[in-house]
Amino acid sequence: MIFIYIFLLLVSALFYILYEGAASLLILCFFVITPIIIIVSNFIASKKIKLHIATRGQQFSAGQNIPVYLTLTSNTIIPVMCAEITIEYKSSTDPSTEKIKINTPIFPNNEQDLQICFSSEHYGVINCRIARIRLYDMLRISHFKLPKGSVTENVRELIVIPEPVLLENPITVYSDSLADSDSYSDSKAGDDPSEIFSIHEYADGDKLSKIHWKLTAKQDKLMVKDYSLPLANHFMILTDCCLDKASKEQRLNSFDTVIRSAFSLSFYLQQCGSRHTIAFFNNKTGSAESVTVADEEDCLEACLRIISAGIPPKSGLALRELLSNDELQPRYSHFIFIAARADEELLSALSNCGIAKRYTVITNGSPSENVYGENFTVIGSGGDMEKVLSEIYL
Amino acid sequence: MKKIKPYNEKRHRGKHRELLSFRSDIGLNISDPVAAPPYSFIRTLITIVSALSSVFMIEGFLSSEFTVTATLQIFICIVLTSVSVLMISSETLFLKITGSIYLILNTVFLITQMKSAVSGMIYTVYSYAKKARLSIPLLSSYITENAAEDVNTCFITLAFLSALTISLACIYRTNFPLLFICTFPVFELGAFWGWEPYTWTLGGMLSSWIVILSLNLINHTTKKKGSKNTFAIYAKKKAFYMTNEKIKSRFFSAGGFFALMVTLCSFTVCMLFVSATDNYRPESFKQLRRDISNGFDEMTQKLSEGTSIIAPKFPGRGRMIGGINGGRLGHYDKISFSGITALRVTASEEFDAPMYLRGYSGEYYHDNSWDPIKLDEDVADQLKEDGDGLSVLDLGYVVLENIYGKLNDRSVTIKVINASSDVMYAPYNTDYTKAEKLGSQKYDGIAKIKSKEYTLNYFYEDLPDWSEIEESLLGTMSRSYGNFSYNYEEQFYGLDMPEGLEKYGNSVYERSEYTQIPDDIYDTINAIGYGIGLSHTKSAEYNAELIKDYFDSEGFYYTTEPGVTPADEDFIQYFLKKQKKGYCTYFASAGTMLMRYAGYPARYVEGYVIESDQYVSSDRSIRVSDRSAHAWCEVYLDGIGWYPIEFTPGYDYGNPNLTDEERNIGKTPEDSSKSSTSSKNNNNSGNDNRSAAQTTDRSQADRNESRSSLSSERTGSSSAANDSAADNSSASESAAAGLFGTGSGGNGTSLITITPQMIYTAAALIFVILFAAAAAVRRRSHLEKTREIISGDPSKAVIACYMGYQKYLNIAGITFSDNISDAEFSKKIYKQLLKYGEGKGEGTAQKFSKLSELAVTVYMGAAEADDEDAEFSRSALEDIKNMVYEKLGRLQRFTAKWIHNLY
Repeated sequence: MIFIYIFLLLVSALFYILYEGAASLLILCFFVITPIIIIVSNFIASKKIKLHIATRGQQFSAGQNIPVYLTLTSNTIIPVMCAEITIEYKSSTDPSTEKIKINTPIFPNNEQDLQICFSSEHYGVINCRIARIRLYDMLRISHFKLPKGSVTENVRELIVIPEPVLLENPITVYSDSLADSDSYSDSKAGDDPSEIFSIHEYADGDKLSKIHWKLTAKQDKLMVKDYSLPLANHFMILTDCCLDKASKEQRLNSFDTVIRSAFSLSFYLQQCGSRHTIAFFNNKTGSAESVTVADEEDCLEACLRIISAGIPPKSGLALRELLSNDELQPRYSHFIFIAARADEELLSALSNCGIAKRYTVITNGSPSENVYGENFTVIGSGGDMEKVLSEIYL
Repeated sequence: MKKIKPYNEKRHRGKHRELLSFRSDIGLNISDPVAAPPYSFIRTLITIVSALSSVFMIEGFLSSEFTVTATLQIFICIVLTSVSVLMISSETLFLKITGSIYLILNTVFLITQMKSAVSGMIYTVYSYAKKARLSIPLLSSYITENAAEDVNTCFITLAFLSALTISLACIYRTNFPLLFICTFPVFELGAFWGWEPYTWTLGGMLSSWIVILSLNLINHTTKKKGSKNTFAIYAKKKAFYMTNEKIKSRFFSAGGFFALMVTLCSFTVCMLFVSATDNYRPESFKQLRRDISNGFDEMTQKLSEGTSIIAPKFPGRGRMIGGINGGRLGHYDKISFSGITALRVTASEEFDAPMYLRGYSGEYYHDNSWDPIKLDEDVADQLKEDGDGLSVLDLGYVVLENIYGKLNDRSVTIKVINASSDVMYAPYNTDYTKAEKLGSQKYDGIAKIKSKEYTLNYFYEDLPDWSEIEESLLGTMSRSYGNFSYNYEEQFYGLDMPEGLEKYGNSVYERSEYTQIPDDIYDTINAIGYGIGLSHTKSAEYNAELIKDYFDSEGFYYTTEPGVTPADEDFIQYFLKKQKKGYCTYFASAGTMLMRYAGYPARYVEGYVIESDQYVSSDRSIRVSDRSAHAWCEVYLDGIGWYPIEFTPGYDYGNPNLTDEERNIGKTPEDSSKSSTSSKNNNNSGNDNRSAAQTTDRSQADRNESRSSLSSERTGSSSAANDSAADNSSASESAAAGLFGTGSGGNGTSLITITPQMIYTAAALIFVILFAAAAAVRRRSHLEKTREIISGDPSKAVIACYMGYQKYLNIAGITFSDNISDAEFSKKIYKQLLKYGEGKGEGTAQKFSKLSELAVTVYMGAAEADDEDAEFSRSALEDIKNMVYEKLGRLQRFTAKWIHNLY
């Protein structure tokens, strides 16, 4: 409109030159004075308007509506014909920033609430902020930005987490496995003689090998000791979300599949009371991290951390780091590697590393099941991860 | 205004999923009601202002000056029409019907008055053309005696139509382009001619444009009809725009009001500034104005020349400037002048007598046209041999130079703007040889020049009168007149003339084209020539006077509308025998032929004639418009050369077609009157006392009317009668069409004549009264009916109370247009009522919740309500009724009472 206005101004100036009479001067003055008044009023209005952005809630599932609330407060009698609010959204899984614009008039001496809803089909952490707000005058000749002080934010990170797949797989009891552990159960006795769980009087059925002879001698009655149950992390779930040489859509889908699979497994294991570890590569720190999951809270935290970690730049980084670590590694009963893709070299290294008794590798590749030895299985989900998870041997 | 595609979420799922999907709507909640006049009021006001501005702008341009009654009628018409359209666009059926009835009745009334309106329209257009000095003679034949009185009907019709179309742009839609199209041409019609409109009409028009434009810029709509979205998304730009009509109209009331205030303030400031500076204009703007005008004229000329595909056969043809068209005769029914600038002439000094600029000349007459003849080859060769670079056109200059020596050589600069640049324009006795960029001469009487601006030297009339020259030169001539031969040696009587020019003098007599009279018209020419005594034994001047006297005595007269020469008639013969009227080409052609009969070689010339009054002494310039285009006769006089003779009545002392403005540019009134009595003219035949036209005795100021006055003094011209009728009616314009008009023969009698305008005003008043009565009756009946239902069957009472409750919520501004369930609706209303009712809000809100439950139960279920439920419902309704009433403003109470019938 500014160009149209300039054109009209030139035409009115030409009209003033060519036509004698008051009308031509009136028109010229009108075209000069009116925009000045409009711009000044717009400027005044921009000083009296405030914008507040807020979000409620933090965790959402994929496809769920995520509301963002905008509150425009106007303390002036001057209405603003068009305010263009640009909101920026950024997801942890995508380096690019998405913007949307909202063109709304601002009512004078009023407060107006806008509620924008969006949803994400992919898991990840979403941040949103006000990029800018422009107030246009009534003829769109000029615009003013709201000063930064007029814009307040109460926005938290919005995390889109998966719904776990409901599993009913039988879980192998790995009590005689080589899994290491430094912690013992407080509620349950076990077979680890290094730690005594409890001592009680002999009752029928107790093993004679568990008689605490010293105490028996002292107390003049037969006392039996129970050994502690070591809380071993029998399961290790390692995730690798990266899919090399793929489109953005494929990478995101792969990420979603891996996250959901890991989360589903972890959730199920936790529900069954099975402690486990989840490991992943953190894109932000540039190194592998792990979380021990003992309860639901840990499970959720692990999921959030994997999502926050983002997509690694290359595949196999976490596994390589794990395998190359010279320090004494804990040993697991069952090592589950969930990856978008796994090359032969890595698989071979994994099978020979001796971290666990059993290895299961689940990939997004074409459906297949290959057994490379007694306890090493590679499963291609073929896009149907839910089916694979429901049939996996834990 | 953008049409926004609604965001289709489904379409955006699938293979190419966006990272984030946005819901296609944005929820909007506004906390407080908007403190501004309702939008319907704003747009009706804009419509009324805009329509009034348009109609009265026309009145201002035409200086019509309506009577108070007429003004009132126009005002009533516009207001009622605008309000009717508003009523039609409302949701209330009663209002829709009332509005439609008014529009239908108004249309029917105007159809019955169509004849009168058309007559008034013709008169209005005639007045417009007259003021703009446009010649549209066709109109004057349609003007009747009552035309001036019919102007009011015309304007009422115009007011109705403009209000209707503008209300489409402002009320029915918010559409700036439509408003601009409807109103801008009105302004342009007058501004084009530099007329001043009434200031308030200009302010009204500008304000309405700005307001509607500002609203139009944010008036986004969605393609999906019936969409209940508040916002719609423009998928490409990922931008949301507000499209909800209800919310938009809430904002438009504030936005429109603000825009209106801004424009009114701005216009007031402008008016104060203009009056304080007294419409200040720097002096330099005058020159700038001229420069821009000239530049524009030049540009248009270049464009028009550039676009002409077929080159004319002879120079000067193909461009009709003021009726002159390279010698083609009788093809036009009439000629008209637009005032366009043909030439811009700068003369070194003032001149007393008209200056003739000759351009085109035609020697060979055939098939109703004067064609130029080629320069004689022998003459051309001789001139070349002479080596002086002379042209045959230099003859006049060389003769005078030989006789008088180098005297009074004046200069004139000619700039061709819109005239044909195929020919060179020069005053008589020009030194063609010295003209720069002179082209080679192909035709005998036509020079060409390779520039559109050239300076020429010429001899001026400080010389003795032409008649004296003629006497001195002709006195000792001897010729053999029988066969037009002459004594070569005696031709120039001792003048030292170049051989080429002498040879040229011979060739003029030898070439038949100069003396030729076509066989098919010879009898007519002979009869006239013989009858009036034309003879080669008499001087050229004497013969010319005889011809002019003949024209005068036989009733030949000047008119620009002579009519087309019939296809089977010769132009000159038809003019001389039957037509006896025409403009300059007619008289010049006939005069030329008669002078040939008298024994003189003669030819037809076209060019421009400039009056001395046109000269602007401050910058020595003359704007030569198309009104100065002219045709005349030239005769060849031995020893002198080609001599111009003026046969057209009214042209003896100047150009009767010029306007006062053209004539008096840069001149004082004394100078104007002085130039009108000029008698010396080196380009004139010197016939100062023998003019066929009576206008030579008139003063300068009457010359503008000479054309039409000449017409009106002759009998048998219908256009003249209409002109005079129109002129007479203009005197009675200001008194026309009053409520107690004299009509067709009033002349001050005491009878009251009922005019259509009276009927219209009365009908409008009756309509308004009827509407008010109908509204009152409707209200009463509605309230009665509601009372009956509410106090009747309990189930019906509950539902009626619930529906009534929603109506009160509606006028309180508590509505939700979202497509939501009753339960959700109820929750939202509950929250709003808490806010709305302030202290009493909670109680009211709770009552509403219960009422809505009851209503849903009764409506959906089989259960019936009991008396207690009905009583509760009535009480809830009464509560909200009182609460809402307390919060309504005056206007809102009025509409709630009379339109919605809620109180």
